[in-house]
Amino acid sequence: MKNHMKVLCTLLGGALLACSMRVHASNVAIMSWSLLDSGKHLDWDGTSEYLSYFQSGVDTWNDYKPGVIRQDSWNTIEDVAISDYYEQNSVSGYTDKAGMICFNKYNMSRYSSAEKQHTCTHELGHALGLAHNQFGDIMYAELTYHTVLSENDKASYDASYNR
Amino acid sequence: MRKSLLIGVMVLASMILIGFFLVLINKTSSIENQISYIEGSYSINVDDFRALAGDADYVFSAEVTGIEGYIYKNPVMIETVTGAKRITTPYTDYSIRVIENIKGKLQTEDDIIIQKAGGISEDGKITVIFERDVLPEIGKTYIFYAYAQEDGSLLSAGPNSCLKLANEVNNGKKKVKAADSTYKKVLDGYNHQIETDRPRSKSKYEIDE
Ligand SMILES: [Zn+2]
Repeated sequence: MKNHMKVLCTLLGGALLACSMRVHASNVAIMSWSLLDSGKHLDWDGTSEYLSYFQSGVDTWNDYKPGVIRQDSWNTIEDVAISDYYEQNSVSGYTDKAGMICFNKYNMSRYSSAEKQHTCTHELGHALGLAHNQFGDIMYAELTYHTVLSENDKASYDASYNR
Repeated sequence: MRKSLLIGVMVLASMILIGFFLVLINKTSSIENQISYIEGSYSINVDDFRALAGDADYVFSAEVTGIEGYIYKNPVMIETVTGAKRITTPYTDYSIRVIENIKGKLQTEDDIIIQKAGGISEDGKITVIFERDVLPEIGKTYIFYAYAQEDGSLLSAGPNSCLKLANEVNNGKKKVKAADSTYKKVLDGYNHQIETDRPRSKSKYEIDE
């Protein structure tokens, strides 16, 4: 029994240590720009076939920092416009610092729901000022089915938001 | 007297040196400011030469012979403090002469047109290009990863879709240096290509075997 407790304590301690080390080892990657306005909001407008996935992406980021991403209304200035296009190549979507997010229907139409949501969440990450990061992150450059913010995504968002 | 002169000369020299560096720093940052990088997400690993070759329809080396024009796509209107503003993504049409087909077979006897995502912005103020991509220069040689579109035209877009090569001249004809490290990587990637299952089109410049 005592031995079991010892093992449990060691495991717990080790897990805690590993967790804290992971937090400290977060890989922060931000770009030189973001589309956040002076009031630290990202007000979006426009339309896309993938609006429901885009909305899920908005919710993912806003669950971490509430109220930052908003749909543009009459009393706000739009920061980013979303739209769709069609082109045969490897681009799923892109974000331009002029203030646009575009989704490539050629690829998006063939993706699973999780992959569509990943792409929308990823592009929103660029609009928030995040750069590409590691496998397992929303900000990994290649298509994945990850839809949840990783520690790297959160740490990078903090760094971009607080600059 | 001599000592103070020496110190004076040294101070002057270091001031000139510092000034020179300041100018240099300023210059590089102003050049960087003129380029705006588009950030994307991709269906493949765009840093893997096997994936680049397997996803593209055509891989070849070519010399850039001219710029045919600028096209502005994906227009959206965005409200600003000063009113509505149109924003677009620039594309550039290049005429190129294929030197060597690596994947697929495109005509080499005449110039062909390839469109690249990127170019001078519609207001003429900045150059827009995908992250880790280059806009080719006339007279230089590049590897192109190209995609046929439904209308038979060719498009090259995204990170590493265009790679600069060193070239040598053989009897007045341009030839890619076999020892070029980029060329080697591209060739090796093609020989181990990871083919993507996706709907493909055929280029109007393709020639029969
Ligand atoms: Zn990206």
